[in-house]
Amino acid sequence: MALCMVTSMDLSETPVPRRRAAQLVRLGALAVLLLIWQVASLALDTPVLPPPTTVLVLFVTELPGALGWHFAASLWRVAASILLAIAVAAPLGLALGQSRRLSEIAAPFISLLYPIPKVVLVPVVLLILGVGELPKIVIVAMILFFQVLVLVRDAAAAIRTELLTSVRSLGAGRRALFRFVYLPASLPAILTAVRQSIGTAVAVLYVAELFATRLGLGYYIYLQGSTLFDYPRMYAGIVAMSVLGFGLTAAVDLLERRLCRWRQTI
Amino acid sequence: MINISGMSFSYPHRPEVFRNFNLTILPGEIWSVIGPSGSGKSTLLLLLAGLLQPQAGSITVGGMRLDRPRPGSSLILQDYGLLPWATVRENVALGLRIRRFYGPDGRHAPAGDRLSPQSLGTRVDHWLERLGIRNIAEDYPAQISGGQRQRTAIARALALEPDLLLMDEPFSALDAPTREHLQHLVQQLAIEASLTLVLVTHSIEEAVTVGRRILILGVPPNSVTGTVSAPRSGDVEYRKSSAYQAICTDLRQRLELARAPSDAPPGEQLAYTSSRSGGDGSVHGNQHGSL
Repeated sequence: MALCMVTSMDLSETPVPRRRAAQLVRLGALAVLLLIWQVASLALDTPVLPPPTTVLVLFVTELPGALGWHFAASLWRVAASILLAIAVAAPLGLALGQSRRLSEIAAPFISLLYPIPKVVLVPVVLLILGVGELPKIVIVAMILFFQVLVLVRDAAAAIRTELLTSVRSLGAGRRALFRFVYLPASLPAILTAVRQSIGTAVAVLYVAELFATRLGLGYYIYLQGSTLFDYPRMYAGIVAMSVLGFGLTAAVDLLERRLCRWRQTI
Repeated sequence: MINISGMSFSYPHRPEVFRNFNLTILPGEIWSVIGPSGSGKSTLLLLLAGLLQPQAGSITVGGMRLDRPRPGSSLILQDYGLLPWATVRENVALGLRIRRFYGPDGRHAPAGDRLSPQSLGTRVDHWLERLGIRNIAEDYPAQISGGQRQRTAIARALALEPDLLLMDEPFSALDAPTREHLQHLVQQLAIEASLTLVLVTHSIEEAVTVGRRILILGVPPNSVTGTVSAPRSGDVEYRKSSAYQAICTDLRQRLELARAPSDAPPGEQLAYTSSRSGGDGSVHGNQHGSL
């Protein structure tokens, strides 16, 4: 996952022919990884490590069935978490970025709360918010919250006074400044924050789905592996979770290329 | 066009920049404002743009007392103030899009100036063409030269069809040929549209080349205004004439006087020393080393 993120980060800032080349390299890396998996599976010859051929066939045949539903449940939770985190953190980050005073007041709180591994709060959030969808969405949103908050704050604070003065002189009041300056300036920060946090977000989602649910890839993987001892299905679930993380990263990259075309020119 | 009477201004917890300051600028006049660093040149421009408010006295522009940016005035700053995420075309359209965003409310945009998307596009195209930047319309500011950025900023300002154009050291970051070309272009545009133009500069030759009237600011607080007339500005041949040289010399002497009051704080003196050497550099760069 970490490897994928690094490669795709480079991808968003390179021109098309080099991006094509990088995609080929990445496909090659995938083939090598699958090969290593295949060799390891043959060498170890244990039910705990089935060959990728079995797993991938199972993944494809299961996806239209139960696995697909679990995948959809997890996807919905992550997507809702991302939107929730942006909806709360981005306006807050913009406010902090515009006011030095507010930012100074908030800074110690952020530096205390930011490094806390949010995953340890899973039981607490479950106790407070109960067993439904909300606690799972909230816990994953907490991962993204600080990242979005800090990056949007810094992006807003980095907007030069001269730029604001110029745009104000064109007639912009607060609303137009928000629409024409602060919003486009914070968009790359939001996308970067989301991309940086997706790996952790999916990991924490897995943990959250171990509790109080019968739907979601976390539940599926755990059920197949520890209760039913159906290892090929467990691996199909792991593949699905990887595809989830990878797909979300690719979606963010695509959005960034579409919405932040100017960054490729710098 | 502009009437400043009895104006006093200071930034919070700082000494006064202007004290009981008076200035009248008539419609269609082209003014340069010159003075050492810290003399309040840029402050004066921000006051005229309605982005700063005086503590005493009043500023009227176009007959209206100024208490916020006025839709008919355009301001161009030294660093151009272009949006880095917007193309040249989008930057030129920005002022018009802000007007459309608010609608013709008379506060942010002139009342009755309702723009359809087509007429917005036509107007933007016109100014891209007029400033010679149509070929780079889809480029981003990071991809174009300083001169092209300045053209973009000018096109953006003029697309709003202002009657007053305020420019803060607009050409100081440009090389000499580009600067001379743009100085001439701005003059032409101002005359074509009978714009009132106020241009802040630290370069004596720019002040004399562009301005028909030159306002000299000294070490603050400024209260008495010194002005010099340069009746034939804008003429290319004029730069070589002895009349031009005489005005430059006169202006240089007045600037020396303006910067030398005995009670000037050490910070101001220092600031001016450094800016002065910069100013001299630009004069040499423009083959007016004899000054």
